[in-house]
Amino acid sequence: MPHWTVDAPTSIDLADVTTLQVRLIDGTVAVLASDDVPSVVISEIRGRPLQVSYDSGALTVGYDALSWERLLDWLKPVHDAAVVTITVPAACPIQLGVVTASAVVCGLSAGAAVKGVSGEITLDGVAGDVLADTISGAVEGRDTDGSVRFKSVSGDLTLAGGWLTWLEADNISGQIAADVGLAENGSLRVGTISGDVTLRLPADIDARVRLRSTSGNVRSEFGALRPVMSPGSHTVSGNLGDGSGNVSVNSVSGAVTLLRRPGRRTTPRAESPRAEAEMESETR
Amino acid sequence: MSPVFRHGRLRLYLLRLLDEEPRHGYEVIRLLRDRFMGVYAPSPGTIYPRLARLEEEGLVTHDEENGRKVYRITEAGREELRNRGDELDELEEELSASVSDIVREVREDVRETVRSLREELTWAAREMRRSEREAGEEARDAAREHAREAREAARAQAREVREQSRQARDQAREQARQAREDALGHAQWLREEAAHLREDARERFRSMFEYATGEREQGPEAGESREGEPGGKGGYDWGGWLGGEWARWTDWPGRRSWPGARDMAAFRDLERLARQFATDLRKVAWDSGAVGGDVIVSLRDILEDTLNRIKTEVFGLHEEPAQDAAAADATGSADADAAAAPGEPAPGAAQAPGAAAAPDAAAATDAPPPDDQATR
Repeated sequence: MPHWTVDAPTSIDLADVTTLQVRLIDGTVAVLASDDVPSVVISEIRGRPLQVSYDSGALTVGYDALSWERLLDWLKPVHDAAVVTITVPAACPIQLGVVTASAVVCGLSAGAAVKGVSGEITLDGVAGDVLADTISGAVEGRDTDGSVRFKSVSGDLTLAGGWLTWLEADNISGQIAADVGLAENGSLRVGTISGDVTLRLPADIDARVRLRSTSGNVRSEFGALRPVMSPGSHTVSGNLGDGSGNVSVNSVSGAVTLLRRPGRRTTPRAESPRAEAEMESETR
Repeated sequence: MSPVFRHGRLRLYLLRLLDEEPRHGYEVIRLLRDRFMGVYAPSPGTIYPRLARLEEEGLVTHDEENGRKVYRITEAGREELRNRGDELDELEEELSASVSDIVREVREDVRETVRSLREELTWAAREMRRSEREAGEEARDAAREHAREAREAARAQAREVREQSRQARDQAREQARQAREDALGHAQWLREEAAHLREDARERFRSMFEYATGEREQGPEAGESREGEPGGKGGYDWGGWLGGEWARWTDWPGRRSWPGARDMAAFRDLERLARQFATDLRKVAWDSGAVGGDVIVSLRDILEDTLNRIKTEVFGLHEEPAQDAAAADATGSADADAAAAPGEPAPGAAQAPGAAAAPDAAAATDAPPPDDQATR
C-alpha cells in the first residue's frame, strides 16, 4: 500500500482512483474530474505533513490520527494548512472533510459528500448525490444535477442552475437560494428557522407546492398558487402543472419567495460528466 | 495563448517533456493537458508550430513512425535545458501555481455566478413585491371603488326605504286622520244624537212640566205649600218645581227605585253585604273545586229565585208593576194623562191601596224624600 508523507509541495500520479477521502484543516482542497491519470498535487503546505495513502483505488489524503470524528477536536488554533488539488475520474465518489479550509469540487458525476465547519464549499457541475454539511460555511453550487442534501447552522446555500431530483435543505439562519429545475416526481424540501428562502423554478414545473412561514412573508410569482388562510402562519399552496413533483418550504420567521423562470427548459442536461473541453472553455 | 505560460515558457516546457522521452505531437498535447488537470488543453495549432520552430532551431528532431511524427530532443536541446535549469524549476513552480490559479478561477467563477444569481433573485423578488404592491394597490382601489358603489347603492336603497316608510307613514297618518274624522264625525253624530235626545227629553219634560203646572193649577193644595218654602228660603222662584213636580218626578214610573237622597250608610252596608255574598260564593265555589256548566246553571236558578224572593219579600216589588211602568213610559210621552192614570194604580196597590188620586197619593207616600231634600 503506497503511502506518502508530504511536507513540501509535491505531485503524485496514481494509476486509478475509485474512491477519495480528504481531511483538511485549513487551506484549500480542490477535486477536479479528469479522464486522465489521477493525481494529487500539494502546492502549499504548512504545519504538520499531509499523509497520502493509496490502497487499491482508495485514495486518502489527511493528517495522522485525524478522522472525521475527531476533526472537531482540531478546532483549536489551526496551523496545519495545505493547498491540495486532486484529479480523479468523474465517476469517483468523494468525501471531503474540512474545518476552515475551503473545498472546490468540479465536474464529478458520482456526487460528493462534503462536511465543513466554516469553510466555503464550492460545487461546479457536480452530478449525483451531493451531501453538504456545514456549520457556518456557505455552499455554492453551479449546475448541480441530481440530489442535494444540505444541512447547516448558519451557512448559506446557493444553487445556480441545475436539474434536481431531490433537494433537502435545512438550516437555522442562513439564506437559501436556488435557481433550479425539478425532475419529474422530484422533490424540493427546504426548512429554515430564520433564513430567507428564495426559489426560482421553471415556469412549466409540475409540482404540488406548499410554502409556509410562521411570521415571514410568503410570496409567489406563480399565479396558480393561492394564499391559504391558516391561523398563525402565512401559507401559499397549490398545484403547478400536473402536480407530480413536490415543493415544500417551511420557515419560522424567514421570508419565502418563489419566483418563476420564464422560458422552457424541457429536458435535463445530459447526465454525462462535464467534459474537460467544456470546462476548459469556461475557465479560459 | 493562455496566461498559464509566459513568453518562452511553453517552449521550455516542450523541451522538458521531450527530454523525458521521445513523444509524438498528440502525446505532448495530452501531457500538457494532464499537467493542468484537464483544465488547460493546448490546441494542436499551438503545439505543432512550436515543435516545428524548435526543430528549426535544432533543439529537437523528428522521425516518422507509422506515419506520425515522433519528436526527440537533440543534444542542443538538452544543452538548452541545462542552461535554463533555474528557469525550468521556476516554471514547475509556476505550473502548479497555475493549477491553483485554475482552481481559484473556478471558485471565483462559481462565486461570481452565485453572487449574480443572488442579485438577480433579490431583484426579481423585489420586482415581484413591487408589482404585487401595485396589484395590491389596484385591487385596493378597485375594492374601494366597489365599496363606494356598494355604499351608494345602499344609500339609494336606504333613501328608497325611507321614502317608502315616509309614504307608509303618510298613508297611516291619512288613515288615522280619516279614522279620527270618522270618529269625530261619529262623536259629532253622537253629540248631535245626544243633543237631540236632550232636546227630546227637554221637550218631553217641558210638556210634562206644562202638564204639571197645569195640574198644580188644578190641585194647588199641595203645590202651594211647597212653593212657599223655597220662596221663603231663598226667594228663588222654582216655578212650582219643588212642589208637585218633584213629587211627580220621583213618582215617574220606571224611576221608582231612584235612590234620590236615600240613606247612604244603608247603601254602603248593602253594598258590603252584596260584596261579601259574592266573595263567599266565590270562596265556596273555589273550595269545592266543582264549578261546571250545570253547577252554574243551578246556581243561576237558585240566585234568580233568591233575588226574586228578595225582591218580593224584602223590597216588596212585583214584576208586573215594572212592566206596567215600562208600558206607561212608552205611552207616557204621548199622553201624560194616560201615562199617569194607569201608572198609579200599581204603586198605589202596593203601598197605598185604594188611593184614587194618584198624584196626591204619590206625593203623600213619597213625601219623606222631597222633605229631606228640601230641608237639607
